[in-house]
Amino acid sequence: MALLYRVTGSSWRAGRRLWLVLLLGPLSTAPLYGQARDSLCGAALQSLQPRDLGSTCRSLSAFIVDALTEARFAPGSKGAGKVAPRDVQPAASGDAGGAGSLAQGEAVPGVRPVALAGGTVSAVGTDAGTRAMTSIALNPLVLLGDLNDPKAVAGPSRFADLTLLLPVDKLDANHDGRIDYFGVRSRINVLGIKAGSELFKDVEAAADSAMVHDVKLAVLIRHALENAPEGGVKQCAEALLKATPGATITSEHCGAPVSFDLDTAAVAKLREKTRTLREAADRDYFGLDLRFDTGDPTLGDSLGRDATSLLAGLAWGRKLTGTGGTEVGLKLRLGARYVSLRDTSATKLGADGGLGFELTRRLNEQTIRIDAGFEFGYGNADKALEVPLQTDFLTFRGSLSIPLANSTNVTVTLSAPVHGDQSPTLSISGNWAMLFSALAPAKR
Amino acid sequence: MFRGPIKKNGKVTATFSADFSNTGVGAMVTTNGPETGQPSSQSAVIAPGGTNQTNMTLGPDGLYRIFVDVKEASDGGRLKVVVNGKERDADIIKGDTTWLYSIE
Repeated sequence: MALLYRVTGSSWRAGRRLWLVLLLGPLSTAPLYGQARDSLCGAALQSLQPRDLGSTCRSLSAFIVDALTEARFAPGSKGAGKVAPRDVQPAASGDAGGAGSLAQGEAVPGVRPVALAGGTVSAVGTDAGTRAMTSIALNPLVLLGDLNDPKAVAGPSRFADLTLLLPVDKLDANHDGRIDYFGVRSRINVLGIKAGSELFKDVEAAADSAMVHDVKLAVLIRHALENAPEGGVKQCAEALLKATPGATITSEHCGAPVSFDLDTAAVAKLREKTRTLREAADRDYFGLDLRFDTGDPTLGDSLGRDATSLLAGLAWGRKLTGTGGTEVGLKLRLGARYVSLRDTSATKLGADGGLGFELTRRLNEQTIRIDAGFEFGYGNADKALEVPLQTDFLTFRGSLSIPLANSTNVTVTLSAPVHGDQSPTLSISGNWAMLFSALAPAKR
Repeated sequence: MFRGPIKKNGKVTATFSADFSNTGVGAMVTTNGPETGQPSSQSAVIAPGGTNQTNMTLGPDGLYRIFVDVKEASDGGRLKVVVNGKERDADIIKGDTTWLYSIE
């Protein structure tokens, strides 16, 4: 109004101001036009979806894009209700193989728990002779729930377990009147796959591709809404919502004809990548490795080696590659170990860790595993106490695990000291684990 | 599901807390798609009973999408969106889910 008032002057400057009005006029009225159009879009959106979802043509166009594309993300191809507990049992659950004991069945122990329960019986050859050990592992969280309900067992079967280790023969080999050794283990897996891996990058690239298409579609739809006749915004939106992808909409309510297509391939690829990522995450682990031992962990017959030890550490594992059922994995662990000798006042706190690789080959539901790695301990103990404290060593260990039948396998493990006064060992372990029911629960 | 407009140039955190009863690991991917320029995405995996999140700064316009992919249709959890430190949305979800926002 102020500009129009000035134009009414009679001086030569008035003519110049008239040009100014003509030049600025479209700019000054454009926002008013946009706001008015937004209010029409907002009213149309309100009538199509009563919830408060915005009041602009951007909101309405995004609403239409979502209505047209949402079904691609959730096509209803997933099963619902016909799932048996065994379907959700982790493919890579752990054995009850006493980490840190003579019966250790992995080069570097991980923290994958047993899914339900399992056991191991091991024959071990050491410098002190032949010994036999057993370990029993339970997943207490699973046992507390309904074992026939897949939803009750899926999470706990991946989370934590407890293992009890005991010698089977010569319970009191050193004749001190006490059971020579027992140990307790707990593995807590909190899942360790981290952003930055190739799998995450694949997912994100696929999501980017799907978004490129949808943003273009949103812009196209917004332009149609903005160019629709004033009284036809809602009808234009309704015509777009009913549109068949690939078809051209020639509704008079949208002004000019509108044509678009939906990129189903991009979303299908995104869904495939997220599925791969989810499955890969289930094969990795990250968590706590907790160990308690009392007695002589070497099961020897020498006096003065009884100790109480506590270990708390972190363990991480990842499958590096996976083609044709063969996978290569990396395993790391690092923790602190406190040892207190029973017969003296000697105590020691040291570092304890390991690095190993494993090669697994999956055949149907069974897995052959070969692994190798180094484990170390460092406590800088006095030379005379290195043997009983077992804090300063470097050991190479390799193992081969062959499946016998579903959920049972035999593992042969060889360890050889590289540094420190430890006995080489050769163990043969029979491992057994319970499987969940293969029957889907009846509908309740 | 379209969830409405979201503040342009906002810092958005999407958090998915998976039900402990889920039958497998879930994946979440969030994408910021500006009208000009390339989209950017972030992804995370969430174990049954676990929580994970993505963080990104939005552009001046375009779309923001959250896609949660779970193992079974009956799996779910709680999805929460926080913009500039303030809760924008929070809801219980079931099965594969998309939330779409218009950046305005």
